[in-house]
Amino acid sequence: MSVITNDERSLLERAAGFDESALSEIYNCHQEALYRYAMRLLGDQQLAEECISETFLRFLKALSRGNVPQENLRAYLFRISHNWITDHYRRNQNRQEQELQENIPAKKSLEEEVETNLQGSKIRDAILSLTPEQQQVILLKYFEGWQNDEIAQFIGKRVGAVKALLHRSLATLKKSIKE
Amino acid sequence: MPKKETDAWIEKYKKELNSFTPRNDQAIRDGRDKFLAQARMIQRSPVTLTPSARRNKWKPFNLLEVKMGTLATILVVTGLIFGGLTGTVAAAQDDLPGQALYQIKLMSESTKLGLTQDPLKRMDLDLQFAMRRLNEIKVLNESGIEAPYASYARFENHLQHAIAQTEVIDPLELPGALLRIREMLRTCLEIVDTTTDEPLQTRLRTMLQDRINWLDGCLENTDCVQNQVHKGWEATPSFGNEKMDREMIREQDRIREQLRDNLTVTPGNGATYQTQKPDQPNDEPGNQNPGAGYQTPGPGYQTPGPGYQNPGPGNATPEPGYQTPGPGYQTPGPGYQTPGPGNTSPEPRSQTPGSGNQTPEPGGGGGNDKKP
Repeated sequence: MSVITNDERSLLERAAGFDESALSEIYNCHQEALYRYAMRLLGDQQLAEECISETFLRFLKALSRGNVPQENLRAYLFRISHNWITDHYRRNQNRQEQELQENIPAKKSLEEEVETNLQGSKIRDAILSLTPEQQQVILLKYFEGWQNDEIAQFIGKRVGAVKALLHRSLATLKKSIKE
Repeated sequence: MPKKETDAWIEKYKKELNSFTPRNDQAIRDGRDKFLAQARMIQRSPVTLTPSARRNKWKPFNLLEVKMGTLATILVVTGLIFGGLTGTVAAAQDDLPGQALYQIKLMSESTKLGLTQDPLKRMDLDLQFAMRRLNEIKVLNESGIEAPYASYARFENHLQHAIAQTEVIDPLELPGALLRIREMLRTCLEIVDTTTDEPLQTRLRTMLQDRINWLDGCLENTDCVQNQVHKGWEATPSFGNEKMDREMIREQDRIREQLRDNLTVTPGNGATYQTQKPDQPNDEPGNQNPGAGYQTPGPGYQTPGPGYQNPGPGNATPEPGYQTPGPGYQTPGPGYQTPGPGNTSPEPRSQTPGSGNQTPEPGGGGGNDKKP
């Protein structure tokens, strides 16, 4: 599903007019996958809910500005989600760095906090150590079952580049887990 | 890495990463409802998401708005010239109604509100000042001094002004703003004295409970907010209009004095009825303490016209339509006698909303048919 289908275009047109049945359909169709994606990266139910809420709100804001997605809607929503998650970790990292500078706490507390946030999942740790792009391709390909062409559209690269990226990401991931 | 090997390797970790509770149905429903509510709000403001940025009406005082920076400069310079001003304002912050610097405190609050342009910040300020008024009332009542009517009126004005701001704030901020107001009202309800049947306190409790109920409805259906704020309170005196407020208070004082002159001073329970203590706070010029049997005018107060009948001394029982106003309210028992003659039945505001209540409810007018 690399291009937008007629059904989806029609659905988006109705959504652009804030048709509630169309908006409901979009929500019902994508909320579960977005939740899974957020849970895998965040490991926290409340944060995942917040991520979904913000994703759909940003989608509405885009519609209100007349920016109807011209691409695959699923890819569009996933990108919003992923941006939110990346921002979340960046904000947390900044806050932790600031706290470290201000309080000079023991190194252990930072590790503990990170561990708490990620619920100690080894694979999640490993995935989070990848670059945002590598995280996306790994999760979408192996956990969400997306096709390479769809991922290519999602990250704005060619299919060949996606394959190469997948290969490198897996190698890094494997190395990270072994460490 | 061969594909089969990759698949096997990743499968090993899939289970670990997928070990989370699926999203429950309630969360899905709540999320979808919130999403659709946000859609409705955004749809209502199709031009821009920031209503304050729209110029959809003529603004006679636009020049004043533009020159706000200049005005602020003048204020700063004036403050420097009159060096003690800042100190005086700071010293006034702890004053209570009737004390020397209390008017300075009110003036500093009005200035603060006047200089605040952002509706959300204005709403927060109004809530903050409403809470101050309530604490003043509480402190006065606890020290045995009956809080003046003006404090109640100011509390209600701040509150209504805060709710009125929801009409112009960014629609996306609306649910959060409503939640903040409701939280503040709940705190107020906890503060209000529930052990007394004093009419002002009773009316305050009823009013708070009504507003909370209204906000509960609005939080379920945010569609109603704009229409109801507009229709429900447009008939009230101008919020924050001190001149009209003072006129309303003076008018009420005149009526009260007429009542006092015409009535016997002995209250129903045989205790000595003292209309005003010498040391009682006198908040406004000519404003005297209304006394226990005083009927409080709400924002929707209408001056009694020719048809107004002074309730007689014999009217000592609640009217048939009267209902207990709030959860904390204690219904007077069989031996209950109201403190003041001539004004002893529960006031119209204490009645069930919609049954002749003259105070415009958030739901609109005297009736509550607009409530969701």
